[in-house]
Amino acid sequence: MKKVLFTLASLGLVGLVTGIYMFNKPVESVSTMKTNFSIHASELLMAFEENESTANTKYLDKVLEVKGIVDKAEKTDEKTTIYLNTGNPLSNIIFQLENSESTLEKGEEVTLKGICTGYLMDVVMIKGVKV
Amino acid sequence: MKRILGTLAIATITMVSLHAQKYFSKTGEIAFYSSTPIEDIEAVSHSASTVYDLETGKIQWAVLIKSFEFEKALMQEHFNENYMESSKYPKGVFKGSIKNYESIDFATDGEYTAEVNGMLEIHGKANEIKTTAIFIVKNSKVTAMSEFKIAVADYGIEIPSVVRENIAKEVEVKIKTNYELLEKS
Repeated sequence: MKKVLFTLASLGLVGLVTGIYMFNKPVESVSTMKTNFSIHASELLMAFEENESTANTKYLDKVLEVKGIVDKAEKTDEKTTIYLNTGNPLSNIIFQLENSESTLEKGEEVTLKGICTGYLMDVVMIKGVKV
Repeated sequence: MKRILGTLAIATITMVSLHAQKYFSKTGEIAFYSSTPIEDIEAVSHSASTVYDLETGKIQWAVLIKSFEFEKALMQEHFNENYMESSKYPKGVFKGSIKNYESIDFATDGEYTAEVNGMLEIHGKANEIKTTAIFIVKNSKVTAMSEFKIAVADYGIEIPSVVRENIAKEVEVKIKTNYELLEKS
């Protein structure tokens, strides 16, 4: 009887700890996530320009590695934003970097990994890291 | 004669481009806060797009719902999947105008209070928003900020009863960005 109670109590405790852990789990870093698609910046923009809803179905919430040339690196106090060239002067692939420290400069060719959040005038990626 | 026409054409083009003074940003910051005795929740997006037309006072903002980042993974998941249904409604859009736009001068340093009025659409539902915004012009840099509250229920967002006590009925929204002049190519 004691053994059964002990087992139940242990299970309960494990459940509680797991629950608390899951509840407080911080957002995972993209660097350890599996890449779903590797794509060039211009191809990614084209997919959204051609058919936004098809592109949303395929790319939203997915981990993408996007290759391209840096058009602009914009730094504020908290965030660094990298604009990748797509061949279209009005639209970029915009990456919000996970870590604000970045040495990326205009003209540099780079592959950035991040999560695709969709398309406004640009394709917006969050949690970007350099591959 | 040709020269006169040429000069006229250039003058017209200059006037047109002076009239089309638009400012934009693609890194607008939108943060929201929900505060209850049980739990404080905050999330922020750093990639909202906005355009402000100085000549007409029209202002627009758009943000991708999935670009909001939370501290806790589970909150972000619930926000996207259960409350905002962000795969179905991926964007939040505000279209409005500034009533007293003629008194706001981006060429002169100063702090300007703007009366903003417009429609905010999120989760497929649109509601009127009336608020004030502050434009700070300093050394030809323009910073804009605003704060307002929205009621979750106005946007058809259903909060399950289990967590009803954890999420505020009114969410505080804070907006900030640096506007840049949109150069015509």
